[in-house]
Amino acid sequence: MNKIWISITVFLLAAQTIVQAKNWDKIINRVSEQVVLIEYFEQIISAEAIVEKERIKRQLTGILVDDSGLIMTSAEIFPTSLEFSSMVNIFDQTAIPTDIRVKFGEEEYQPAQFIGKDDDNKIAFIQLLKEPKVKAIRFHSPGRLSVGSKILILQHLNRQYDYALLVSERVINSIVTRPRQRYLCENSLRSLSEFGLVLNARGQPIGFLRGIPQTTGGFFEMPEFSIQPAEIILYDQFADLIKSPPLYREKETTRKKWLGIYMQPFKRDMAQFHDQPELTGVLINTVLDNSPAKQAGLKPGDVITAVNDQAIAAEKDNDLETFRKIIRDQPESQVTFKLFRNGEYLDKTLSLGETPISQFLADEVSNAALGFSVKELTQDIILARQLEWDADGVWVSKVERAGLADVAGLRPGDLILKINEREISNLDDIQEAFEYIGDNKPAYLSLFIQRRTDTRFLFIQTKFQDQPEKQGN
Amino acid sequence: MVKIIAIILVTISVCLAQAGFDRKILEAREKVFPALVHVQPIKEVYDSGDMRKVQVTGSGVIISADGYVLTNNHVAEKARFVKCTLTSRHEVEAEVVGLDPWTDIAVLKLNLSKAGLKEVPFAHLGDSDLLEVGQIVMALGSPLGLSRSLSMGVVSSVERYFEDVGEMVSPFNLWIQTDAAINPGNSGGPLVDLNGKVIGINARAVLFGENLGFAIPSNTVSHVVEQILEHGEVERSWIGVDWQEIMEYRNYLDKPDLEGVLVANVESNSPAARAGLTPGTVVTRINGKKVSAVYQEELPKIRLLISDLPIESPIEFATIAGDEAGKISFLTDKQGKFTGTEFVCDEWGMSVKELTPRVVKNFQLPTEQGVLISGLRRGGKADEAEVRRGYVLLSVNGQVIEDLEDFKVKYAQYAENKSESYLLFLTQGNQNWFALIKGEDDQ
Repeated sequence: MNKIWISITVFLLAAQTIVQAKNWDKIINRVSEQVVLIEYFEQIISAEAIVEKERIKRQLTGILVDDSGLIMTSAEIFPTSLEFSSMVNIFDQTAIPTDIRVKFGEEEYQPAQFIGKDDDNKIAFIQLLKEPKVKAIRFHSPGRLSVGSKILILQHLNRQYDYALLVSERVINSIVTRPRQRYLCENSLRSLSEFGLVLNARGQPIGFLRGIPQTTGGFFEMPEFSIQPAEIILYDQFADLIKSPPLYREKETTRKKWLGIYMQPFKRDMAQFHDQPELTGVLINTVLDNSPAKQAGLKPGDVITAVNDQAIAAEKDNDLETFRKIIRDQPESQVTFKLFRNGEYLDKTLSLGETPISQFLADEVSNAALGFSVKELTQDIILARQLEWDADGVWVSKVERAGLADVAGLRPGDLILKINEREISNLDDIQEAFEYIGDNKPAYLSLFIQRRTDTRFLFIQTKFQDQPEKQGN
Repeated sequence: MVKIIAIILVTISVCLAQAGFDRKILEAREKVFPALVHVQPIKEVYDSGDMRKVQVTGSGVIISADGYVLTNNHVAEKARFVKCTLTSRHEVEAEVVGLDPWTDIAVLKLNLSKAGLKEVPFAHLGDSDLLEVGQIVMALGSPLGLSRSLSMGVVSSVERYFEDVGEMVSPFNLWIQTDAAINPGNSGGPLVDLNGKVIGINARAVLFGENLGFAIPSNTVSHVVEQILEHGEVERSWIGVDWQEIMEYRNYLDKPDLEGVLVANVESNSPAARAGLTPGTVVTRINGKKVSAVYQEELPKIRLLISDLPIESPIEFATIAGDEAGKISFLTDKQGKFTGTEFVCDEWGMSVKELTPRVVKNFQLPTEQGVLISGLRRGGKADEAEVRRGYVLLSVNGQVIEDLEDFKVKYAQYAENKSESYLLFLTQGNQNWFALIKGEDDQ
């Protein structure tokens, strides 16, 4: 009797394996059409050249998410931060990706264009110029996911393997619950990009795979030697983004809500210090000038304990992300905070602003003859340079290597206060100055600049006189 | 035959010259060598919230029979106790008489009576203004701790100008450049001419450069020494102006004969700013004396002209702004401290430092209020509370910290009341930070 049971069980198990194996095959065949290879050119912006010359051809994995030809991919396609952040990097920037082409399976490449990106979710969208023959992926709710659940990942290999489709069966290795639910799996196969389609054990598309960037990596740490797990981002987290993708429209680019504070966790011992052992929240330590927080009268030392009646708690730095996300993703600009200030609770209703643009989206004016470009001041530069929030001026964004301005000692990051005797407080002023210079061709120019805390004069020998006037028309 | 004689004569004459040259070197050496000092200060350095002691090695030279010794500020600073070894191998304790970070000069005094000495051999300072490029010089000292060493070379330049970089500043002097080998440990040792006069104090070398040593000219040194012996420090007048040479400005204006010096920067809250002096003004006379700096190397003497004025003395500039000549006059202020005093908060496991004008400027702080967190002991109370190094402490439990003295008084009470918790409010750049040092019963 026992023997029969055992053989039946063995048979069933074997049959299941065969059925599943068959299913995998079919499923992979079906979805591999919608997992596409994207090719594009990355334009490198260098602070040492006023005209961009270098571009690099790159590839990424993408997923067709809408029948109209909308493709979701990693935000790596355009890594430059378009929104204000306290970290400013004026070097190593890229322009919007160009000459994008998409390949479905073994078919010919099709042209596409960049639509926009969401840096919080680290995804970007591109649009095919012609409607594709293939139908888009239909995402499903994942069902019950637990540690040990089987998943299938579809990606591509890198150039060495001719971008072949890479399919790997993995399991959910860990589920982290704070500050939010995160599904992690091992990530040791080196794929084309840290992005891929994720299927559940039933072969249904449930989300995408995202690599986790090194957070603790120091300068000398080799990222190759410390492999991080990857995260599975489920459909419910990006469904809205597919419905209405963020749009890149230069200064009108879709941006998130902004409060304008720096904060830290309001820990248990701080609550005890204030004789409010049950109090939780985020502690405001800095209120930025010209921010919605400043206008609403928030102050350093205030504790935000609730947003629109949703209680806030932050015991660790990681927990701050929850509050940050709540603010950034607010559908309405009006929010009500419950604050704790000097032993008292108060309600405060305020209007959130739009996150200011980063300097990347600022207007730029270049002068090829002098070999430098300037940009208008944006909030990130004002903060980084510790200028007054309403400071006037323009700053040097690029200096052509060995150009006239470089030889005179101008550096990226300098603020230009005057050209000759002309005060410069915005891009119009500098345009006028450039026109004057173009018309009058002075042999020498004086630039009055500020570098860090000090001002000084730089003198540019223009050599306009050495250049023969152009003949004819 | 004539030929042979000629050859012999020439050979002899070369030998004679060689012998004379040797003797000259040896004579010069003999005038300074007995006054050479191997300096080993024990420094008190603040590190990770604690005070540690380290011994370093440098060089020095005795300049008086009663035992005053010249060395570098960077050798003797932060030292309570200095061990000196003379060429006679006597070990003598010395105390620091005065320090001048702005010129990197320090004066020590040997405790001769304690060492059983009445007087010591000393060297004479020469006139560095008479130095010429190509002139032979010797560097004496303890390169890499190898005491009583001598190296020789020539003067490579007498007007080397260095812009200030961090702690390496020299606004008031030019440098003597020499190819006589100078290594770490030579610092504070004498650069000597063939007359046996000390014409410079060796202070810097170029890392990975070869035979690029730099000495502070003796005329700068003697001026600083006089001040230190008289006041214990060098008092300088300050007006808050950065100067710029006018060579290119002349080209820009197309005025090749223009004389003067250009105002490049006026610090806010400085005497010059209050008097209304603005960048772009050309100063042609200071207190009636003509000034001009066409080249960068001419700037130190203009700075010196101002800094040498007694503090709060009237100063008058004749100026040209645009095409208009004008006059502007005001009172000078006292130049602030170079580095702040440090203080260890043992109970909290951190060290704090006095704010100096330099720190206030570099950190772009609105005022001089507060103290700088200079170090944290790992696992100490402050470290546990996530107090941040490099931040400025503005208040504790809402009580404003005015300055280091104020903090010391308040901290004495905080350290007493261990059961209390203390909420620290810190700032850096445009980011503030709260840190809570927990009371012991609070746990």
